[in-house]
Amino acid sequence: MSPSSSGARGSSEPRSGRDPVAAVLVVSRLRLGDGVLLVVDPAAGPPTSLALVVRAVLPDPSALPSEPATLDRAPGTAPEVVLTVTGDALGIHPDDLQPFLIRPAADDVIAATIREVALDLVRRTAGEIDEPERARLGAMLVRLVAALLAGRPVDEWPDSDPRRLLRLRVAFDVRAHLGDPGLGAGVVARRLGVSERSVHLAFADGGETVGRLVRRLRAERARIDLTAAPPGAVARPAVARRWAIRDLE
Amino acid sequence: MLLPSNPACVLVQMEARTLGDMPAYRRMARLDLGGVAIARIASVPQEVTALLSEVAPGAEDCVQFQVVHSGEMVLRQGGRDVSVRERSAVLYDAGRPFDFVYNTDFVTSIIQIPKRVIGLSAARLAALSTTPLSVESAAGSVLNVLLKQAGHVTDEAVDGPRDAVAQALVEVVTMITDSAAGRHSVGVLHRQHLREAARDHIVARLADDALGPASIARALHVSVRGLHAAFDGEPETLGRLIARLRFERATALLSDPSLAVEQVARESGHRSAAHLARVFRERTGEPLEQWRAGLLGAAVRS
Repeated sequence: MSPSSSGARGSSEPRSGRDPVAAVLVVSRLRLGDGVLLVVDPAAGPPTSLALVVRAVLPDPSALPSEPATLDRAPGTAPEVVLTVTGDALGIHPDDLQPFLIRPAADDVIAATIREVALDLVRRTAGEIDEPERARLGAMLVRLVAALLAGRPVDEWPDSDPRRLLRLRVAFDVRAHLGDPGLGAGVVARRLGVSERSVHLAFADGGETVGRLVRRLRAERARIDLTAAPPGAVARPAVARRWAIRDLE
Repeated sequence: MLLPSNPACVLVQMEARTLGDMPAYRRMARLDLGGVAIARIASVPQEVTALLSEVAPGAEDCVQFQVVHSGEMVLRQGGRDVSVRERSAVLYDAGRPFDFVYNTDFVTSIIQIPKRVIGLSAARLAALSTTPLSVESAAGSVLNVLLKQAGHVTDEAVDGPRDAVAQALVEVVTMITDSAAGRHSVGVLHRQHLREAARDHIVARLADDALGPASIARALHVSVRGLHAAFDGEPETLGRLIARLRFERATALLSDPSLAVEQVARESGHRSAAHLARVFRERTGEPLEQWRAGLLGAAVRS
């Protein structure tokens, strides 16, 4: 997928061939589980916007420069929170993933929520959040990101392959609604404003079906709850109910 | 003073009375985020009782996660008091009777969530509702951020942002409750289950004169020591619980004039009429026959 120019809900940055995250110089960063990295430049002042990067793997935080500097962005752009999410965490099939960076409009409610949560988290010292808590907070942020991307208008996703774009939009919608017991191709299609047949067709090229995507993402989300909770704290049936899983092994 | 209720602002209809004669105020707001509802209340010291006969459809299938931002409250549910201080929270069943007592001015947020979404079994929910939950963790801090953000989403014309913020709130609440369950589950849940099971066993076998710690422990597949340990720190030991339940059964039966004291003693698990009479005098300070004569005389006069 190629990024877009500016749109009503925000703008996408043209990719210059450089890694969008590697261009970010920061001092505050926080990794949340396997799929989320927050980076904020505290020297740039209170961030008022969000930059969202989706890529295959998270950059190594220790490889990022350690001195305060600026984000790779146009002069005069407000300080921002940079949130990197892996395609895997969002449920994107590896074959469908092309890294992208978007900057949602500052008044987008979901983007503002992500930004405020991120700021609250990076203000904490590293030791304050243990690994299990990081994994679950990361999963919560991924869900917000998925909801943000699922609601992004189609014309802000210029893509040469409409089927691949639809697969991405389906993945975002599924990731945002995993706890919905009625989640399936029909429900997703209605929310995305397309026919159920077109959803099935988009997934007909091989790989996985919508049903299998739902099961895979639910199982992954349940795994995070079960492994992040203290031993004995959460019963498997409770997690199964939470994520609408009929047969949690 | 009875505070007026505003059905549009609360999650469960409540009756609130102020404590003391100070000038009263109450600021309330309610947000509906799809299946999740939020109420924020700031007011003066008061006692509040849930009017479950007026519960909104569906609310009985919900839990409430209540955060005390300032002040303090006591939640009363299931015969227990849970004291919840500033920057703490409590989770409880919105479908069972409950009361609050706020002894100071307070600000609180209540998040009403369908039970299925939380996923907790009734037993785990009952156990968790006996203890205040800390919201001073990272998750608690994020919860406050989300509560603040929730105030911005109700103006949205589309469901997406409402759902997204609601589901984020639910995820953080489950994080906090899972974490609390981890601290309390192994001990508290087991001991609570054991006490409840013991009580059920006792009530079903009060007339059995062999009823005692050994027979109960056998029936529940635990050691006698483990059974007694479940009552450590409780207001009543196992022995006293058995004696009280037997006495309560006896006094209920004694009000039936057709039953002889000997029969009442047998059916309530007392060794004999004399034993029951002695127990009765010890507990009430009054001779059993005198009490019963007075009770039956009053019934005849009325």
